[in-house]
Amino acid sequence: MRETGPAEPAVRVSGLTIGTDRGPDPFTLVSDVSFSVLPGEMLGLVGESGSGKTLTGAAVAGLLPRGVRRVGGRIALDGQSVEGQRIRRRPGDGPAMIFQNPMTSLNPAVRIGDQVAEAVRLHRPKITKRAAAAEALTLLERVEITRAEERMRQYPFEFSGGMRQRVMIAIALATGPKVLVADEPTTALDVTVQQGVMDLIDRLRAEMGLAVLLISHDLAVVSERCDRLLVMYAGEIVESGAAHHVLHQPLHPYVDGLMRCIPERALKLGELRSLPGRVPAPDELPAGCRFAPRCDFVTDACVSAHPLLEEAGPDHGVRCVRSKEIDFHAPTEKHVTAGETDG
Amino acid sequence: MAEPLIEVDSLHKKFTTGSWPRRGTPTVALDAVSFQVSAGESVGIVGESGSGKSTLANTICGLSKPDAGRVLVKGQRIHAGRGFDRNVWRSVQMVFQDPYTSLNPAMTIEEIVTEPLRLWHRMSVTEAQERAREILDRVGLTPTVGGHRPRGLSGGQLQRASIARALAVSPEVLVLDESVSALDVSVQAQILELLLELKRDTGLTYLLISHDISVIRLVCTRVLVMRHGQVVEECTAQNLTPEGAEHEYTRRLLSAVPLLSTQGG
Repeated sequence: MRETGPAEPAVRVSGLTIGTDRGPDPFTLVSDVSFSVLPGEMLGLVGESGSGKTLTGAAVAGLLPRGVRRVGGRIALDGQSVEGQRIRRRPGDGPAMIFQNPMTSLNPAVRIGDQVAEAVRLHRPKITKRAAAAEALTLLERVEITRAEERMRQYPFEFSGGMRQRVMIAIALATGPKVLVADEPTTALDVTVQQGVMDLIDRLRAEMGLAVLLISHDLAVVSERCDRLLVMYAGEIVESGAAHHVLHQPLHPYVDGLMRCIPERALKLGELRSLPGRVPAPDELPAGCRFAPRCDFVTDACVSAHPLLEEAGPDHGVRCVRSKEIDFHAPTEKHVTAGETDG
Repeated sequence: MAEPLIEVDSLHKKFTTGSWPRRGTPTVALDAVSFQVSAGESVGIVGESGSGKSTLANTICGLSKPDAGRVLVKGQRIHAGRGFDRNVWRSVQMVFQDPYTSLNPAMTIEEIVTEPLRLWHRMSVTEAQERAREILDRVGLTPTVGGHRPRGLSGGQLQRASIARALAVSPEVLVLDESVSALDVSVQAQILELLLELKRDTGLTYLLISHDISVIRLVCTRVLVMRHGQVVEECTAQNLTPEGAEHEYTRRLLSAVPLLSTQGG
């Protein structure tokens, strides 16, 4: 095993570009994404549907779907560059990933214990059945499943959503990963259950020094759990930096607009102001700034050239040519005041 | 106080789950649920999965029959009884959670909105189409979008179409069952803005079911908190805070909600 210094990131992604590899006119789905996650760090990756956050996570885990591939950029795990698509040399190798829907990610016809043990055996083919089962029990206990010995013999339908997500985490941990990609792990769960699952992921991160890439559309969850985050829009990072900076003093008009859309924030501001329009499809991206068609502050400079992700402060990047001059608190004409309509 | 628009009177509903050879275990979905909604009110219903929110919504719409109790809309029972008037059904319309599966994929959006106008209001084809365009315009959909079938549209557009379909029959009340939960934040904000606009401009009465407390606080005036089929707390939307809530469960629910950290602001 390689020695890693404290500053060596568990994952370093640079210039990651993902595109389709079929058809006469291949197009780019994710462009030029760079970030790194340190061991024991939880990095948030937020964005709306179609922003490319899941593909980015899948690329890190080496699980890109068929028809889509990495067309550029580098992914380094533990300082070692991973060539091409071959992140996994054997099953369960490399980063682990958990998914949004724990209802469909387990095999309904196989007992829970056997599914966890299978993950252990795939990774360590020489292990005996008995040892694998014992290992599975330890894993289930580690993800706080009560009466684990008894519950190992049960089937997925006997588990609730939160419990199934815990089982998925146990399976993800079976290979002793250093990196966990959590793609919307709590979106399908009730708030009280959500809290428990996020607490678990947070505890595992701290105890095992896991590097966690938390992908979510829920800015509140990310702001509670992550120190740093990236905001993606239409396949690229539009703002990155410390969570409290990005969320409370956003520099990009999209991030500011997105924050205003959050009901909790709208309540505090006393008005709800939605972003007009929709995210452009990957085959119809505008030439200049990708947010320009929906932006209130658009100028000629925004449309003519594609902006770069620029340093806007210590560990704070923003992809907007006007970020320094815009005052987000100036009122615009279109807004509905919440509360005004009451009664 | 004027006669309530909707009167829900001690509803009870049990489901029996489990199949042979197991003995079914009854699940209590609704347990003595009573409340009233006046015209122009916007009422939110919160609770976790399994608290009976959706059963309540379905019962109010007449989609599910209660074991006991009754729902009155303007004094008339919604569940068929003696002298039952089908128009009572028309007066409560529902918007479902998933717009991808709740609209007919074979019809264009305009057809989906035209059909209820033809059926309920007995309008002629041209009249109905004209009215449909008006309603679609009201919810922010252009005639071009109206010509599309659901598969070509985004989630937000489909949810607008679902609301347009519901509004087409001029209901007294709209029941929205988790209608904004499956949408992205920015799209969700667009739909909530539409609801606030409809409420302001047309005095729309609606019942919004959601697990998202902030959503409810934003667009509703009164809130019912449900748990195990019972309404455990009824309060104004402003009082739905960990400090304002009276019931222990409400406080627990509120404290579990992830919040954007308060610093900065």
